[in-house]
Amino acid sequence: MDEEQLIQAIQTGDERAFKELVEKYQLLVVNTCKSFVHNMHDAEDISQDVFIEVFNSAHKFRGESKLSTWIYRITVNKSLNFIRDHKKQSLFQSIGNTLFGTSQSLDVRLNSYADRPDFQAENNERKANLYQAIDALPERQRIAFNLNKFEDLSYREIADVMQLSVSSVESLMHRAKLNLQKSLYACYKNEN
Amino acid sequence: MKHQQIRDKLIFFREQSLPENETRIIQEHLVHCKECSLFLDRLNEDFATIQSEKLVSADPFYYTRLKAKMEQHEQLGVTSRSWAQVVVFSVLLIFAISGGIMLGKNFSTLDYQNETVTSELLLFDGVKQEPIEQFLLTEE
Ligand SMILES: [Zn+2]
Repeated sequence: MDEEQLIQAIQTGDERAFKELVEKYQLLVVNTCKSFVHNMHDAEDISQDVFIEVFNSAHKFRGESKLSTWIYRITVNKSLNFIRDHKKQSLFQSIGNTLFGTSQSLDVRLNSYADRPDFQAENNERKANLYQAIDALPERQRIAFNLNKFEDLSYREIADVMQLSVSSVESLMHRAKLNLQKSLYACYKNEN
Repeated sequence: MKHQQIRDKLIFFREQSLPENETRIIQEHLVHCKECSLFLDRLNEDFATIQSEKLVSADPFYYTRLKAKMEQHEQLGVTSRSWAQVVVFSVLLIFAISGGIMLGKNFSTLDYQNETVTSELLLFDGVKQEPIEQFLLTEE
């Protein structure tokens, strides 16, 4: 089935077509989620929500963009929503900890993944620094950077996903790289 | 170019996206600047980490887990739908009962008024004219 047939079949509730779509886009979706949350557990959870949304809103896909562009867009939105919700939760937890006197870290970003046992088991401090540097990028710079570096999307493809011009993406990428270099240099100086 | 200016261009240098003359100046600087050279290695390692993080083979059980989650969602949807039905029916029932009571009350008052409207007015006319406190005071 080509993309159009696939989405048309899903619109009629065809499960076989949906399975085919999931198998085709599984790596794309999971890897994109992982580039935002940096751990497999959350990446799988978000990716499942992405496919559920694809299934439920297949009728909204008008074919104005490529199917992969539409799926990338849903994936980025779901990942960012997850991060926002998680930050809110961590913030409330931190406020609670401050009010009730427990001495947990107030660093929301760090709480989001680096404190987790699964992260510590899989990663070292260098990786944590790298991810923190990426996570510290302003949102649009981070989206462009992740899609380019983790997903190898071209600036044209990123522009389609983000609904921006190619020159805007170029500018976002340039600033993202400068900011990332600055953060990584600070880590490098601290280590030496 | 100074050391700091070069250091700020290393991320672009490693991607080979700088003009030829700048690339050559940086290459020459790297030969004798240990700090820039080590930082460039560091950047290369970090970017290699990004590439190594990518999953390259699909999980064969992924779809099974996804279906399980979808069924769970559907069940939750059904449960919340049946809860919504219960709530709607309860509200309708309450409206029906209270409507019935109101109607009943209205009819009974009408009957009562029809029969006793004159006596009621006569009986309580005095109280309506003056407050009860005053009435009690004058009694004393
Ligand atoms: Zn130098």
